[in-house]
Amino acid sequence: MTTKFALLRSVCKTYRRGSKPVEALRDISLSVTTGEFVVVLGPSGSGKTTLLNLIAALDRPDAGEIIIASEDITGLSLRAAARYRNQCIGIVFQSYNLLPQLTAMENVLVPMLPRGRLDRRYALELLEHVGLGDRARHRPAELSGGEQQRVAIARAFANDPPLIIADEPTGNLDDHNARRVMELLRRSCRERGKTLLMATHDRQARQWADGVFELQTGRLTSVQT
Amino acid sequence: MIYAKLLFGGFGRRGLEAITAAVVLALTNAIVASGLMIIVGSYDALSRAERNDRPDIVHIKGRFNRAVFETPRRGNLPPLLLPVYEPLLDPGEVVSAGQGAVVVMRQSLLRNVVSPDGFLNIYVFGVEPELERQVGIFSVAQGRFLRPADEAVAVLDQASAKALGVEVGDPISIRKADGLDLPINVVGILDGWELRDAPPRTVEAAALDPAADFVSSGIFITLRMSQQIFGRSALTDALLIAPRPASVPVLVDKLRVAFRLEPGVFVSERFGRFRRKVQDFELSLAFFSIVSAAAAALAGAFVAHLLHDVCADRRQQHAILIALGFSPGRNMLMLITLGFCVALAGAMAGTFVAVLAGPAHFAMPSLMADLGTIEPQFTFLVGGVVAGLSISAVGFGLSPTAWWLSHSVVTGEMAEPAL
Repeated sequence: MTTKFALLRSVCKTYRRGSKPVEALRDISLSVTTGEFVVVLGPSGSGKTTLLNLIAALDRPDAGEIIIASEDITGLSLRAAARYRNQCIGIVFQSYNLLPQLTAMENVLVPMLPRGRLDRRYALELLEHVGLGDRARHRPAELSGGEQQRVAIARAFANDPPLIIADEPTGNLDDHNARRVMELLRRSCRERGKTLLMATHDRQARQWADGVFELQTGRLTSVQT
Repeated sequence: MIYAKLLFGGFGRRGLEAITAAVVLALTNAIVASGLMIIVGSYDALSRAERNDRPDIVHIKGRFNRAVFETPRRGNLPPLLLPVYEPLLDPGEVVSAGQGAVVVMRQSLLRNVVSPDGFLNIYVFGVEPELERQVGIFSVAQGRFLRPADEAVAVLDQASAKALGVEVGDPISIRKADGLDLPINVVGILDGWELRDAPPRTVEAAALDPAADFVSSGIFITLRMSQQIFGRSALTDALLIAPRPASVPVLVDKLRVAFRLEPGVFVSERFGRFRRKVQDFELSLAFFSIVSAAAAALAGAFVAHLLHDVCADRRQQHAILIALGFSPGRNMLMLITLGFCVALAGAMAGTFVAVLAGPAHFAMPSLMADLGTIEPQFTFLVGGVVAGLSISAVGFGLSPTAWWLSHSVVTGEMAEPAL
């Protein structure tokens, strides 16, 4: 029996660019099952990142409901939203967003700081899992783009969250590294039973996915599960 | 360690700007603290001057003139001509002219004082005990000081008591103007005194302060008794305490008018000099306040601007940390800690420079020399102003980022566009 992990109902989000309103998301409703690998497809400016930001509680919708793991996250306070992000979500960014002054190991440890428990052994295990056990003491500047993204993937798993959000994780990588990162993400989520929500404009990604949502100018135009 | 790296690492070239901000803040604080220390020192000098100089007191006295001093009664000594204040002041006239002022009447004359063991040519001061203690300082070593109702009793200084060989309770005698000896009991011995406007020292005698230019020894009796001894009520000098320093010029004018026909009477005041000191203080205050305020405003704005740039560059890190589950409050705390470190470094370094490198004594420029050499002082006020300046400058620099942290959607600061 499958359970709905994420449920969005009639979610709308409008930004103001100067005096002009820009509708980023219009009446989005979708659901994701626990353990699924779901791809959000769409060209640049279609609202993919906005959708992921709303699910990550980095932003709030103007209307609608977002329910993650049976919890409505639309009305969370800033503190509760931070706790939710720390415990329920791991995020992988397009441009890695590693902290340059920290080593690879320390970058993986950062999400553990708010909890006050630094599990260095687990962090090393994660780095070894992404093939960077021997680069733990290296800083991001000493790593290639693909390696940095693999550190970011290890960091996303640091607090063992049930949901991994990846926003164009292969956007800055060459084909070889992109394939490797995609495979790593998919395999890691599968092995650990995580739900993976990935935004991309790469249509080839649909071959990996259990489900595909397609966005066009803020509207959900296609759903394949 | 990770927190330390998050706080102080990853600045890149902005790190240099943060260090520059702390250095500029330190220099500014050094300038401001030095200026304030001089102002505090000036204020202290002014307060001391007000306390010691007593600008509210006017001294009126008869001219200092040679008078025939009676022949000592023991020993083969000739009569002496000694300079003393002439008793030219009618008490009623002084009180009338000094309307509104407290009049401290005084007779001071040299007399030959005899004890069972010897004699001494010494000043005898007829004073009003309670009023005299308001303007002078008398330290009693033995016995007590005079009381207004005292009759044939005296208080004398330790040096004179030793020279006369008397102690508390012993008798001495002073010959009166009518030729009779007046026996007097010693009721107190002083080991220190500051007789305000004491007469100049002209006779070699035992003294509490041998180096002083002014008389620092003598016998105190009540004015009533001295008027009996000298056989006249006229005063040699008097002090008039004005209700407030500002009314001294009017009081001086009144006294000069009242005694305009008496060329041997002189009126002196310290208010004019004190006013120049006040003006010097005001000039110091204005000058150093302007310098401090200008330094604080210019350098403070510069520091705030630098820190704003440093913090604005830091927003991506805050955004990443928020995305990783750090609360805005935790980020704010890190921001405040960074600002606190810069402010603390700037304030402490500046204060140390001001306190350690600043001069122990500071003389004002020649046009402002009346206040004399002042000692710059570090007080809680100076520390508070320096801390306030540091916190303000850092606060202005940090506030836009703090506002952004608490009010904005931080995702815009991350590399990906929001749409």
